[in-house]
Amino acid sequence: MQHLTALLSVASQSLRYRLSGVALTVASVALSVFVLLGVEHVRQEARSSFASTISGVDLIVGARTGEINLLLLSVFRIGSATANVSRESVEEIREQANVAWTVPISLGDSHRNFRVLGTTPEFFQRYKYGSKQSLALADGKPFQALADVVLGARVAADLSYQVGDSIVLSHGMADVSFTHHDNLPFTVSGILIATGTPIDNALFVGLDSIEAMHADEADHASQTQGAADGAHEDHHEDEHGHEDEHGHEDEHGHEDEHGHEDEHGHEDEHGHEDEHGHEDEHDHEDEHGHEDEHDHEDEHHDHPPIGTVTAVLVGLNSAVSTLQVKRWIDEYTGEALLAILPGVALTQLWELLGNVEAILLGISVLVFLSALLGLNAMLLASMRERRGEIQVLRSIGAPSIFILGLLLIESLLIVTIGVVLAIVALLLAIAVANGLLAEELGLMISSQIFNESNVLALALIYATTLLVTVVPALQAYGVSKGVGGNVSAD
Amino acid sequence: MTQSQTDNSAILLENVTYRFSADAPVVLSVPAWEVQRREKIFLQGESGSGKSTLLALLAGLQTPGTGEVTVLGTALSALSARKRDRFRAQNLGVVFQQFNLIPYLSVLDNVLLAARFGETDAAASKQRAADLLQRVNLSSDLHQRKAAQLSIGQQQRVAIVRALINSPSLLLVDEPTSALDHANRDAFLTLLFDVLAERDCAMVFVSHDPAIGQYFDSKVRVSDINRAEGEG
Repeated sequence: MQHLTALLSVASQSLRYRLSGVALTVASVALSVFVLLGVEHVRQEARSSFASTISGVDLIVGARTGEINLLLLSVFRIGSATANVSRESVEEIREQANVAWTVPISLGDSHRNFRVLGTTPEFFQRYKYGSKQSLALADGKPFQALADVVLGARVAADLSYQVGDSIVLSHGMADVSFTHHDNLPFTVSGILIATGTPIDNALFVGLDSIEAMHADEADHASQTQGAADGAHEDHHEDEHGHEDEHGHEDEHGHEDEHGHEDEHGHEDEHGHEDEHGHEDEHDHEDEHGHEDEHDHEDEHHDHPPIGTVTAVLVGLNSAVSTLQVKRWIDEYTGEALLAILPGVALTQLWELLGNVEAILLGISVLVFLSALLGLNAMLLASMRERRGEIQVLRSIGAPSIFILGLLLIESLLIVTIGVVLAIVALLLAIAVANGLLAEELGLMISSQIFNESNVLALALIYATTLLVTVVPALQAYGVSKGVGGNVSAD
Repeated sequence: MTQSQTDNSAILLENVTYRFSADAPVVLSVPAWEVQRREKIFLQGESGSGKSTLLALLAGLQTPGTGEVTVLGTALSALSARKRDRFRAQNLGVVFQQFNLIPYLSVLDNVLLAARFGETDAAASKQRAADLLQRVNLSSDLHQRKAAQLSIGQQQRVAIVRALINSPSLLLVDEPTSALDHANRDAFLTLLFDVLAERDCAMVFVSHDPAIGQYFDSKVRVSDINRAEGEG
């Protein structure tokens, strides 16, 4: 354009002349764009962070229940299992041609309101979160011995545990559970890094340790059986009944009994450990599993009976076979099983929690509209006050494209500076937040703020800017030009 | 600008009508009106007589519904909008009642911006601007000052310089003294005539104030040339 240098010079002088107003407009644009992009980014991040709670696991298998129930139980450790998966089923699944690995998990015990997850050491290699990030230890090593426990980051932080500390796990979930497994105190062998997932809130022990704890109960039961032969069934029922109703008066008596028993149990524990050392796992299962299973099924215990697990994480050789394996598991005749695809189930759960997203989306839209309206109001006000200026420029023969260009350059410059400031501020905020969150929660907010909806929002902001600038400019032009009755004269 | 040798009129209006929109009443209807080159004419009319509309038509800022506006031998309706802008920049000087200047540009830049649109040589117009500003008694320390910082009287003098920077053949002036007090008004008018006496430039001076008519040889009432019935 022929008058480009004049245009830029006039535009810059105009902006400098109205500096305080311009700065205010820029600040207000920056603030609304910052909030808009920020809220929208948090919305996207919440969704993707939720979806990346678990990755690297192709199928989760549990007893037949709702898909979301199984997901909640196995991944978020919410709720309790109504039925379990037997070791035989786990073995059969593992032997499927397409199955690369299986990791059983067993829930039911707790430590001061944090749930305990019994599993195999392989869990730490197989369980992934985020974009296929592995679990890593911040300190110590995975559990090896029977009395080793690995803590999630949050557990260690909240309870101020260090590697080497000794802790006692409880039966069930209540903090005041009277059934402490204090016959088997655990030693913290490792602490996981923060992941920002439910992993942080769990304690991890070997599946064998869980069985050792409860096998001890079984031992205790059989001892009682030895002492008072015929009364065994009744007594056993009673004991478990008390465990379920923790507020019961008799509980104290029971605890005493348990504590008393513990002296014996201590010996038993050693005996058991030895036994375990010598015996093969299958024998172990057969030995204790069978009788226990009946009791637990009857009484709806939190933890699966010995010899069974709550759920199984399954990895496949190839993702192509996912549906085929899922179908095989769903139709498995030995037991009523259900296999879920974690990603699909997470999406379903997120949709169930859709309100959260809807609220954030609503906020995004409102912020966007207010940003747009604010921008409109400011630009329109400045257009109104510049009508006189447009008339002057017209009267000295400025071409219409010069006037339009002047107004557009100024508006676009204001909006662009505002948008750039907002983006810089948001990236800084994310960096600062990541510095704080990464240590505390293991959360990393992505700095990829340009998702589809954000780009669309920015495009709409620019489109509005153009509209709000061009329309009044053309109007001002039209007023000075007038509308002739005979258009052909123009 | 190419111009017919036989055409000696600065302004020639033939059967011109104007209305604000297609269904609005005609506010201006001029069957015929002519202003000679170098003629300085006082056009008196109350507000609403259509005088501002008439000036806008003469400046090519508005186009008539019917009829032909010929300025300095050029039929404005024959020009494209872009060419009309350039014609205005090169051949016409316009001074309004108030708000003649871009407030955030310096005095000199206001004048030079007009020179740029008139496509006159930059160095030459800079010299001309300095001379003219001197001529209207604006000292050089004011040249770099923002227009908004000047008094109204000073601004109107800058407006004269700005209107004359491209050596126009027609000056259109609309109530330039209405915001000035009596002494300033007389000083302004005296200066305007002095400056115009030095050049071959026709002028149409519009005002409601008959007292100003004493400075002019030819005086016309808007109502004498505008046949439109309604108020405009």
